Amino acid sequence: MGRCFTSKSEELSTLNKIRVHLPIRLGGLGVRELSHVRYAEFIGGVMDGIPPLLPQHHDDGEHHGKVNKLYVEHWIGENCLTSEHGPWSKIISRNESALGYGINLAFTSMCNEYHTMIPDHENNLSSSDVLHNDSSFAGFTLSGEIKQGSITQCLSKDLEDAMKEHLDRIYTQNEEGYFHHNMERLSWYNTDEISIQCLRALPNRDGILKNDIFIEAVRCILGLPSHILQPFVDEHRFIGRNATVVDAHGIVVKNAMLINGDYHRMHASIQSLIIDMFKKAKIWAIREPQHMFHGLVPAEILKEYCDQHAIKKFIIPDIMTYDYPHRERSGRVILQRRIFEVKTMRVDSRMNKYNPRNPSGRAVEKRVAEIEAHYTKRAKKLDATFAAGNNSNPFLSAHKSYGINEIDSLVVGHFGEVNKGLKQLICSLAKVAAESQEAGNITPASSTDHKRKGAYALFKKRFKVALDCVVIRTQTELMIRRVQFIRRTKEAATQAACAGIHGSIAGKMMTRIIYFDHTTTVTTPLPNL
Amino acid sequence: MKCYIKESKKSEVYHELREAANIPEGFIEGEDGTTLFGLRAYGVPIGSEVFVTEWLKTKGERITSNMLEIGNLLDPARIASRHISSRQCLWLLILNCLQFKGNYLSEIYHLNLQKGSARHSTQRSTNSWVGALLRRVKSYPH
Repeated sequence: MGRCFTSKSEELSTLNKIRVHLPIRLGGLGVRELSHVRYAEFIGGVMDGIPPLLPQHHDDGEHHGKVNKLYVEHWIGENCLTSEHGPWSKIISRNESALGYGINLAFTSMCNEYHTMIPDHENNLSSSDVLHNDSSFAGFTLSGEIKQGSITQCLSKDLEDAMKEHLDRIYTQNEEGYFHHNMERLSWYNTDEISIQCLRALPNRDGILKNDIFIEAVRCILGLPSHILQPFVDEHRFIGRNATVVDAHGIVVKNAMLINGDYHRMHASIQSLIIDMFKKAKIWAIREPQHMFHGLVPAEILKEYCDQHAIKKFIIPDIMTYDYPHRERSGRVILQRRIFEVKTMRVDSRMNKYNPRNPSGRAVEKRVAEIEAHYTKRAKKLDATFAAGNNSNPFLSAHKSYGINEIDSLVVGHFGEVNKGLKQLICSLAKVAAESQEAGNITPASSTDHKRKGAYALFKKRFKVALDCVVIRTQTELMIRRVQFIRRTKEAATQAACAGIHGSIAGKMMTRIIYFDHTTTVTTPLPNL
Repeated sequence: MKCYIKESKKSEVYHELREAANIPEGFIEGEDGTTLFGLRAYGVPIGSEVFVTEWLKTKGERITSNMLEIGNLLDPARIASRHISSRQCLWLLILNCLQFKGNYLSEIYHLNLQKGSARHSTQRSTNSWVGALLRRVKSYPH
């Protein structure tokens, strides 16, 4: 995989080399090397093929297998399935048996690999019950039972879970030599199920990723240097009003201060996408409502609030809905008024929010706490300005009357990761959308989804893929556009940053639009969900 | 229908019975033109170690060439429009299909080759299938 998206294989650190072989559900790239899976495949093949041939012992007596009992006894051993020493003990002890050799080799190799990755497996409560050390019971549990489902899958899953645990330990210990750059640590810690959806996205209208965007997506997931900025990082190049040196990962480029810097494009794209999701769920949602306090604050106070001229003093959430379905503990579904705030995050140059050490929480969750505190602070300020002396705090009470947690924060991070609230929103909207009349025509047969959970899984997957692809697309396009502002000298970089789009009339006009009404600057075509 | 029996067990009676039933012997030709006796049942090569090794090698080469052909077809240099996401298509093919091409062979692999050097050569060959395709993707213009 290192050879696929980078020019040098050494570019991949130890962490990333393991990570590419992890399944996508565990935050990897899902490229399973044949040498890794072959032992599990072999034991799975043995378990699929041999036990049905053997005579089975049940409470009501012995049932014949598919092969004559004498042949089986000659080959594998007498009553092997009920043997205390394990079903394969006799065949393994016979030196000339190819099957015994194969079982022993495959199982011992897998166990060794597993125990290397989990050194304290004996004390680990979650340790595998199929990867015990006894190759005589290969494919069975130590009590001689066969686990339900595919044995190959059981073995592979336990090995992959151990690999994930191993990577988590590498991350926590933070020893030198495992990482090449802090971005790799950040990406491993912050990546979640949404961040990796671009790897599963089909090239349809929701998920199509152009060649350069696709490379950037994979590099972002692995925390590798940007491919787009490769020509600019060997020498000192500068960008932004402060003329900062361009870095390999594009952190400086994304954070550079530029006039017409397209700061709001990603925000607006995600906002539109979430409104589209609401539409799919047949929930009426309004974008940037001006009067969220209407009907909640006494008329005379509200009039004073509305008469103010400074738009900055208004509290305007990104999305508001009046009929958001909420299931109470009793099972009753009520329609709630809710407000949502969309926020996007980038890795900051000083890495304060995205902390590459061992942070206490993910950056997106930290941002959620900030948003909630910010809204409460602003509501209190309005109370102090327009309702001084009124002990009921009308603005704060009105703000708290929305939903369960006042404001619902929807935060999308640098790696495409999202906060818990956004994940819950996606699940809720998918559930409501799946119950709509329109969903009746959607069947798993019309999609590549094989989970057989019906329209709900399909909607959920589609929402997640669309969200991640929009994030990846806008992040990469932002960087591609900003490449135009990179200069060889500090003076030239500052000049370019202040001039907008090369000082052209179009650039100046765009700047005005962004400054005075940033909501009108969506130019990226959005997927029509 | 084909048949196979170990060289040491072959006798005139075997050939007589085989000819009477009109069942030919299974064989493939080795690299040096020698005839290697064996056959394939349910995708499993059955025969001498040389036969199995040669069979696996041929199979591996066929899979490699198929993969390279797919890689060539999705080469962005061949596709004029930059808006066609050939890299994404190729990735999806690798992820969902091509990387599993060798899995079935790995199920039968130890059964046929008990010990010996052939094991290592086959492993190298199968591991290189995906690698070859990924190298092809690397060589694409961006």
